[in-house]
Amino acid sequence: MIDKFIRVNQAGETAAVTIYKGQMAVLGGDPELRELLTHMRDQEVVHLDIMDKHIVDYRVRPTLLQPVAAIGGYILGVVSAMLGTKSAMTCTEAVETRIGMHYNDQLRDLHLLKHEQLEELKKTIAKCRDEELEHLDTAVDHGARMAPLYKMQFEFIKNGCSVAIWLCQRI
Amino acid sequence: MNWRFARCGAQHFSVLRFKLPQPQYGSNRWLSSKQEPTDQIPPNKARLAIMDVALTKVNEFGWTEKALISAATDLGYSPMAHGSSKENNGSNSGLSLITHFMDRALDETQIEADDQLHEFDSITEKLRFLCRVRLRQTRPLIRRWPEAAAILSQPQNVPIAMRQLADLSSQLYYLAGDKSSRIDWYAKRSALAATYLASELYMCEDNSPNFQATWSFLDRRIENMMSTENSTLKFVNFTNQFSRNLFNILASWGYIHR
Repeated sequence: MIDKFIRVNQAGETAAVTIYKGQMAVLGGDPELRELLTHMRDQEVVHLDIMDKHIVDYRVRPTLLQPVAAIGGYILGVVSAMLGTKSAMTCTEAVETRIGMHYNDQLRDLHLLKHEQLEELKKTIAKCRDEELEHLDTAVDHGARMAPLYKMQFEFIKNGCSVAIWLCQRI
Repeated sequence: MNWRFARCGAQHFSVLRFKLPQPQYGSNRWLSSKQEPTDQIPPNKARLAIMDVALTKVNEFGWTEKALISAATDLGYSPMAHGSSKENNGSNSGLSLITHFMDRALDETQIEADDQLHEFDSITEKLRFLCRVRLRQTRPLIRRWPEAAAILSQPQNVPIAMRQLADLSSQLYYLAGDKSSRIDWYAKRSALAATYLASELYMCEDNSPNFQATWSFLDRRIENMMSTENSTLKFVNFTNQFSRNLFNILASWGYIHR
């Protein structure tokens, strides 16, 4: 169960880094957005480093879908950014919503296990979760909900994330 | 909205506990650390003891039920004691003996290698050393090992054999201190598994004094493995560099932003 958690977290952070990279490739011209995206990307890179360390420490098999996650994330970033700044923010909001839920599900399960060795893991996941939710708030502040067809985009990306999580846990 | 619930910070973690009634989750067996999944009951001590003794009888009886029966009788159990565990019911007793041997050999490798590993600098040297230690575990039973390899390569046993091999290469890489966490994880482990398997099969046919030929065979395989790894790395680096250059060119023309 823990191995599944760590596997999917690593894949998720890989995708998160590339989503922001993809968005930066399109929207990086605007200095304000550029600063915002760089900040969020840097946080995701730190998360990814943590997850990589978990993979080694807990001796978990990384997912085979990792390259798919990276490329898919980049494409999602580029496409959402091409639809406009607000759509890019909708994408961020949807992804971070799903990831926040996902980390909370994990924390709940880890909490019920009541193992002392898991405290460290719980702390890092909680920290990552908090930062993801900050990104979510930032995205909402930058007009995520004013994007055209907001609801549709939001649900589409969120459900896509659910499918990706389901796959990465297993493959 | 779903994410509202997700917003309790780490410091409010105790709040989560009150929001989630425990019984509802406690009933799921996979959530509890106390209850192992039912298909993985840990084999009882008696069975392990019988298996251990049976390994000393493999040279006489081969990887058969006979070895297990003889071991059980020696230890004062009923001759059918080895089959009493649920895990063994209906399955091949030779196969369970082999997997037990492989697990034990891997544990022994770890114990033996633990205090000597720091003498080696590079991961390659460590891997070479670990492979040798692991091969030495097979040495007492080497005349019977071809039979084990035959049993392991039967189609219905291939999944178990693959899992054993994966455990072995993963364990050796872990002991060697490998830090890969990306897709190269698979490449490295499968290469090591192939190397180890080839050396083990070579060892079965090796008549040289003190298995000298096997050691040099192993050295050559590991060299091959590393040179393959190097050329793969070169290819990956080339691709990486190429796409980075392309990215930079596009960025300098103003098509994309970095």
